[in-house]
Amino acid sequence: MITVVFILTIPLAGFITNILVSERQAKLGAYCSVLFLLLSTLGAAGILFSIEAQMMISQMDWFSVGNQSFQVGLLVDLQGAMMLAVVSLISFLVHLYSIVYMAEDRGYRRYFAVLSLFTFAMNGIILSNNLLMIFLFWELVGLSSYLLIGHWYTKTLASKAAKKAFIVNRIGDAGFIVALCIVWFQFGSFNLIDIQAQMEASQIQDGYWSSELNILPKIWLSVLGIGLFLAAVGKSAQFPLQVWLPDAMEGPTPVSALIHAATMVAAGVFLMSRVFVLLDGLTLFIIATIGATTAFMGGVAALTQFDIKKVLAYSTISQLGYMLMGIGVGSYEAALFHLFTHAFFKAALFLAAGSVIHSLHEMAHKNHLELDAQDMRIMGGLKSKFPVTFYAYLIGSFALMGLPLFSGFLSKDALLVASVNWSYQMGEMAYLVPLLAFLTVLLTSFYMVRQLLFVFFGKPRLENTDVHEGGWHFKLPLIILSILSLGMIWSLNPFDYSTSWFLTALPDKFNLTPGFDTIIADVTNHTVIGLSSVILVSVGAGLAWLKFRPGKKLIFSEASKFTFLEKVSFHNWYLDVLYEKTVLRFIRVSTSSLEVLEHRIIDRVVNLLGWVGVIFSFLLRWFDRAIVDGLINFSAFFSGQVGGMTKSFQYGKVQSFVIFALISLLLIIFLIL
Amino acid sequence: MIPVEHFYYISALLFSIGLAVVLTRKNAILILIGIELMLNAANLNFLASNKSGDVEGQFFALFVIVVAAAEAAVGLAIILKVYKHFKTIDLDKIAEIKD
Amino acid sequence: MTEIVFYFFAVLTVVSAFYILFTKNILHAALALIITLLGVAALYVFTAAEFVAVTQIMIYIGGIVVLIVFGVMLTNDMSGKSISAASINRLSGALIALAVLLTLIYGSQGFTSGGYGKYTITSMENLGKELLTTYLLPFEVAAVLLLVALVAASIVAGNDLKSRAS
Repeated sequence: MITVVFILTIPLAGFITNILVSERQAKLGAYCSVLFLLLSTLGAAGILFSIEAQMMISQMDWFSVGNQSFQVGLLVDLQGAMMLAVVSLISFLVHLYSIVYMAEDRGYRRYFAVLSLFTFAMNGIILSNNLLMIFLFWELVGLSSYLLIGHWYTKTLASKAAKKAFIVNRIGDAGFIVALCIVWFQFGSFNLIDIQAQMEASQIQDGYWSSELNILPKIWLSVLGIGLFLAAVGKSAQFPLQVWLPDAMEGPTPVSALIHAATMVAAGVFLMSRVFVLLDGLTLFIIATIGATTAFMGGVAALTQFDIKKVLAYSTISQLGYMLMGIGVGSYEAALFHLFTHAFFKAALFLAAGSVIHSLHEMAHKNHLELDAQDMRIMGGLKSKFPVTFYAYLIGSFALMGLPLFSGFLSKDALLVASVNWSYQMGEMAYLVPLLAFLTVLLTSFYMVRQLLFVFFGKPRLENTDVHEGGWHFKLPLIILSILSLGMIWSLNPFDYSTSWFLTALPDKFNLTPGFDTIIADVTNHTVIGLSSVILVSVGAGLAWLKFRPGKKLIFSEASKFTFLEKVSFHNWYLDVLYEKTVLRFIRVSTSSLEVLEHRIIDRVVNLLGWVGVIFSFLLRWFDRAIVDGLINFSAFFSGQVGGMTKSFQYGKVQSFVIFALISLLLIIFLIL
Repeated sequence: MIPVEHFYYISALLFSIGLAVVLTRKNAILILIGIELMLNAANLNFLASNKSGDVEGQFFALFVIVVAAAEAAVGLAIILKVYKHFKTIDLDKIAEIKD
Repeated sequence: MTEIVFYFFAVLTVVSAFYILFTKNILHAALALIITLLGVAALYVFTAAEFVAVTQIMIYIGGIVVLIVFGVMLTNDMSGKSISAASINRLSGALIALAVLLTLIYGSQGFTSGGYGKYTITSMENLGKELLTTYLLPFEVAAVLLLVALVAASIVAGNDLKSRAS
């Protein structure tokens, strides 16, 4: 219990330390944060190894309104402990990495403070035992993400991206608030355990959803589920709200690794698994569809990017789509599994990209070159210059593509099998979901191989090749993360996900929503699915090799000369333009029409009222002058006379006034008595 | 056993002393001190007449203390301003409202 | 025993209050105020109001007296005359105060029931609960009042923006 509280709060200590240290001791503050995170990681590992699937819960009263009381409490179960360990470890590595990466930055203390704050908030989401606390920490995570995206706030793009991320997330949070209202109304409790028990006890009959407290039309259950899903859509960058994540790459690269790839964006998936019991059939169907759509759209958008981080950002969107599809097809454990494996290999990829960017940036700075250090068109042939980075990138890419022997294969396989099973169960058009999922496998391997070839193979495209890899601060996190991306870590048999220790240690599945209690049968042949995904990976990789193989002359056309399909991909399906044309235009048109309304009608009414007022006041003036003023002048004259008579015993001395007042008071009292 | 009227007597004494300070001293800060004494006397009355086991009187006293703190802060601020303007806080010499 | 302590504090309170009335030195008056306030706080304890007593010590002695001493120091020329204050209206002030005292004593004759003997303790928990339920509105209003007073005090006492600009 103490350990859990310790793990929760020690990143907060890092935040406070970094706020308090002076500018000169900024390094000290950073090392303190790293130390705190190391302690937190060790604690989380301790919990993970000792937990054995039982839950540790503790809670106490927080505040009460009327006779409703609210509790704060902690809940640790296997997936929570696992998530805690992942977040702490990656956060620790990212802190370590950032010490050098951000060394030249002026906002050094601010950076580490907010990074620690983020870790605290993320731990809060994981450990909270009620939805209200989760919501609070959810917002705190959003805030720290906003602060970190806008870390270089003097860059217009960065501050715009931060605002975009925040506002888009707010749209999702509106759904969260609606869901909270329904939960409170129906169950009278935010406690996750309570909710689960009450949900299992509640019934759905004749279009009504009845719990112990209340009866609501059945549709509200779907509204509740969709509200929660909307929150996850915002935070986990799903269609149609995924537009903020590519822009969020304006933040520092370690931040992208920690927040916008490994942990925060996965919070949506984690939330879905926490409230899985509240999701009914309709909601799950919507989640599966949107998840698969997002996976495909993200994959397509990643195909033509030139910015090294943008590729990874779109692939993150795509992988998050996979996870939510896993939730939607009723296999939340596969989704969580993919969340954990993805966290490690995607963090490895981002940190490796950061290593390249950092070195190139430093080189450009030293030689006074004007170049975009994130542009893959200037890279190439970096394999020999960045050996450790290269192998980390290679392992991360293989895991992301889902090659056997790597962690991504296991989790992706679990998701694909679950989606195929689900589509058998649902029939009809549902097979589109696994179809999109398989297509995305192909796309993933294509864009990852393309990126590998662009960055590390071929001839160096830079004239000046005076670049070299960073020190152990860079290498150590990369090595640890790539080891954790290997398949052996996760399952003794690296070809079969069902032997993975995480899935076998998970307790039995939650019961599904009443009314959706058909457990999905396992009808598919795992080998066929595994094999076909490997074949798709090789096809994608082969296509990419044919198109971009080393030695082949690469012609980079400008974005404006793309074919139509390439343009669709490059501009992320023109979603930004779409929102610009619809939502923003709607807002602009409505504000301008409101303005017209204001000018034409409200102003005229006001003016008319003004005229009436002026006429009326002319009448009043006459009345004022002749009668009121006369009275006032008379009374002023009268009181002047009286004042003249009494001023002799005043002399402006306050205390004398008091004495007179008291004498009168005493006289009054004596009269009454 | 302390009879409750003894509290009233002490409070009456304190109140009168405070009143005497307010009436007779010329220094503005001393007058503020006198007001504090009077407020304390009132507080003592509230607490003494509080039914045992009840907390109503205590809350009166607490809120009086809060208001007294606010009053002291604003009063002293005004006195400082007066001092800046007139270079004295002797109420005798500050008699500009005479005419 | 309780009585002895009570009357000791009662005498202490009244005597130091008289000292405030008669002393020529403002700083001495401020110090005597501390003793008076302490005595009153002790009397509060006899009415089973420890919390108010502690509050009294913290706010009055810790806050208001310090403010007053600051006021004394800021409003006296350190170089020149000693810190002193004369009196006015002596006779009329004394008469009025005496009349008020007699009135108050006469008025309090009616309420002679009860008394405080045993040393009872009010539950702090009860006090806190009441404060945040029944007395929530006055509590919040007091908070706003304090804020307003703070802002007002700093605006009134602080330098004018205009004079600083010039």
